[in-house]
Amino acid sequence: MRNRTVQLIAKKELVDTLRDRRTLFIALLLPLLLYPALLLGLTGIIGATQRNLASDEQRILLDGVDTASELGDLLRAQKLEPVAGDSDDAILPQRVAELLADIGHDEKNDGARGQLRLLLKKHSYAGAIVCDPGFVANLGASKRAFVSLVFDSTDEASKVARGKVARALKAFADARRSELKGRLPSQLDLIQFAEAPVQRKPIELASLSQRGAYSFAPMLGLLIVVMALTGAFYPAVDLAAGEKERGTLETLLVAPVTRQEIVLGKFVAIWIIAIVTALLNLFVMGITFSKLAGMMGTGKIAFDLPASAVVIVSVILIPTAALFSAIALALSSFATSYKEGQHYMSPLFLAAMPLAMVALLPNIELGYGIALVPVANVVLLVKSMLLGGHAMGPALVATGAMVVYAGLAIAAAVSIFKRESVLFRTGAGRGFDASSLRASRAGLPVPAHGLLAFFSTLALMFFLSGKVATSAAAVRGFFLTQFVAVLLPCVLLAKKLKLNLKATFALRMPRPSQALMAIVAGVSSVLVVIGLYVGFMPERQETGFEEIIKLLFAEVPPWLFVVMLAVIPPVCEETLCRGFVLSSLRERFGVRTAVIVSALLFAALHLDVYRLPSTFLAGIVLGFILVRTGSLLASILCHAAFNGVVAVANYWPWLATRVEALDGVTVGCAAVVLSLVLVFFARQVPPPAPVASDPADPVDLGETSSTVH
Amino acid sequence: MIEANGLTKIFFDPKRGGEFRAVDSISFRCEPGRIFGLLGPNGAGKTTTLRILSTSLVPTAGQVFVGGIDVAVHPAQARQQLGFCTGTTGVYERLSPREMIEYFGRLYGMDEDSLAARAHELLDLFGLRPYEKTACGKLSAGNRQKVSLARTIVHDPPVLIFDEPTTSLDILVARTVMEFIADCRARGRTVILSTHIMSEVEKLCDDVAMLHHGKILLQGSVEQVLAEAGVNSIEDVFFEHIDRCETEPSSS
Repeated sequence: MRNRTVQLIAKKELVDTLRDRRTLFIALLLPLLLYPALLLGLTGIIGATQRNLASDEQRILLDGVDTASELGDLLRAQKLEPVAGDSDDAILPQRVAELLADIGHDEKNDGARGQLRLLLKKHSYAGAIVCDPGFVANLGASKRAFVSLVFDSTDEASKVARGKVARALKAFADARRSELKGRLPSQLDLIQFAEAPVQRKPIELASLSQRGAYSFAPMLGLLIVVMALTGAFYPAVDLAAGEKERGTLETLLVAPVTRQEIVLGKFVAIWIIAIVTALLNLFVMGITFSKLAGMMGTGKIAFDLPASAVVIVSVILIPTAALFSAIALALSSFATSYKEGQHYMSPLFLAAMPLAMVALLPNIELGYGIALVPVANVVLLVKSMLLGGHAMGPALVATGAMVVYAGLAIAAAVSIFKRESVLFRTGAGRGFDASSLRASRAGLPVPAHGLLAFFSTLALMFFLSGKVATSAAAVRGFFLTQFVAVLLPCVLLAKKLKLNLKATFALRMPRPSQALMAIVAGVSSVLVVIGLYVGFMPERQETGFEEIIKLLFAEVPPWLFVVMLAVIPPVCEETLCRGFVLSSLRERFGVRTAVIVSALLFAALHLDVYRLPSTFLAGIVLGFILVRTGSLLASILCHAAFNGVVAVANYWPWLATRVEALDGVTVGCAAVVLSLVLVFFARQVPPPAPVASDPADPVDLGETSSTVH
Repeated sequence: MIEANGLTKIFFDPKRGGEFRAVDSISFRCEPGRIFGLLGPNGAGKTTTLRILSTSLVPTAGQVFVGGIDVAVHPAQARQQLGFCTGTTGVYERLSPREMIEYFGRLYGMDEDSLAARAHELLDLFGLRPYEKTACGKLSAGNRQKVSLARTIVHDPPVLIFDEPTTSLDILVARTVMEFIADCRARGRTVILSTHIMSEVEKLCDDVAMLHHGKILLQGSVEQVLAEAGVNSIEDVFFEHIDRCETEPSSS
């Protein structure tokens, strides 16, 4: 590969793209015009969610006035739940009063402010009303009465509660006023009363920059992802699919440049455009937001992002744009026309958006585990940068992970571009029609069948899932999920399509050595996975999955628990993922792609972002074992060993302590054992690929992957 | 010079029942200063053969030498010897003719001085000087094809490959292309031309090979082929062989 050639191609592609008004408009101009509309829309959405919160009841700490008093009733009428505070913790009201005194009217005392915020959050109060002694009496006597209101404007519930409290206080004061009017109709008194009750300036718990970042942070990361994606996609479609359509690609291919140079040149051009698009958008967005902040009045919100955050956001943008550029280039290489290339946009968006949305969930923060999940890590990193208090470790892991993914995506784009079947694919005869849904000649499912089975499983899992409150429901849910959702769709499909069941589900006995090694692979991988998680995810939160396991554990006898965990999921999940899905992809895309894609789907099936990296790696190991042995039983054994260790650890304290407190040496040994086992499987001679039922017409798998340099 | 020995190309196409032989062990030679015509109906394997010669496709079996270079071993060097043009190869619509010529000149590793001189020469040769700064997308079809031809020979290659170069061109543009091809022979280049238009063959070709279902039915110089068949036109020879092949498929 020559840098000069890559530069030459990149430069030409940049010129070409910048002269294309269509790409310029979609990638650069359109988003800029959209911001005002976007902001208006957002205000509408925020209004809608606030209305929702308005009908909910918020807990409010009420100090200095009895909760059973008239003020308490008025608060309840506004759908608030006034609580005296000492019911949670006898010294809580005193502690709140102390912190309030510390804060005083000092806007800059962020320390005490932060402590008070945590304290209220811990006892789940949306805010606090602290009345001075004699508040009610003073009001009744038309004297000045003081009250402190404490709220957090970065918390939606607290903001809503603040409005409700203001209304309740006004009603309370109005009632006092009308009482006084009847008794003391003196003009003087009325004027005096107009000032009462004196509400001190509400105490704001979040610091000024946090307030600015709060409205910014969750969206900024998402927008970076969207901008990098659109910024990359349209040029990619134009430079790959568009070039094929216009017939210029063939001239480029006969020039003395390698495919690698062509891909890299195009990639660099797309990457630069994606980065510029995203940066330009962020810049305009910043201007729009500060304009908005200016309109809302100074002092309420600040947009002074720390310089370090701006640098880190720009740094993470580079690998993010690289990842999307490479994926977009690879995808659009498959398309034969610009129009067809655009169709590939939706799947890419559909894949990226859920990952980005995960990061918007309130409880999720950037940790080592989620730093490995592409897209989600970018959004979370941006969020944590803006809200402050970020840890450097996970930020570095997230950036590193994105660099690695981008590199892999570029390698994939190069290898796709080298495939003759992709480059010289013609529009005719390869479209999606009824024949695409027929089983292959070898009696195997085709990719569309694999996806159909997988998404049927996901849909069934969704519709069968209920509230897992009790152990009995957990047991029922477990069996329904495994047998009805996971196992049934692929088996029914296989029957309906009259597939070659033996080939599809790899129904073949493994050799005893292979079976033994599969079990060793399972045990060593579970140790490696747990080791990595203990080492890198100390902050790991309890997931829905673990709650279900705990409920199951409480309900069923030990032997059944072990069987349920170590036998049923391996059988059902392997049948779907390694049997049906992998077989459906193998013939069309080759073994390597089939293993990787089926592992991705296997990981997605677990519906748990925290376990995405571990389930993906396990999926690769399982897929590899199946491919090398040609036996579903081998991959089931490996999966069973993996789950078995986890299940047995629940009953065997000796194992549990070993598993929970894994030291580096054990994990290292497990990793060595795992790689040795994988070497063993790599040396196994895989059984011949299933051939077409018509022996005169063998299926040649080798040809689809031939390459040119 | 081009030399092909036992070329075979097998595609995997589920629609055609898996394995499909687009080109089936064919051998031929193209000499400098002569035009070699590759004849055959659509789907005969002409384009596949030429893509193998131009190194875009890798043969399943067999060898190709372009100017004595084994394309499988040194594809980049082989491409340096080649000019490749088809009736459907496009030009970059947002580049001007000059930029188009310069871009490809640089890809072929030409230095800036000789490239500037060459671009000048080619723009004059094809009469593109008035449009040298106009985006190719705004040129007429004829001028676009001229840009395409200029791009093909920017590095002055000794071997030229034309794959149905007049398909989808209007009659005047087609004549320009045919005159250009004849001119290449006059300059002593090796030319290989695929076509299914027999009048082009009779006007241009010195040697022919007839391709059907991926196999060569007959080959030789035009005079030789006509004399053996005892007819006056290549078209008659062509139909006679195709018919014979269709009625007795085992004889081939």
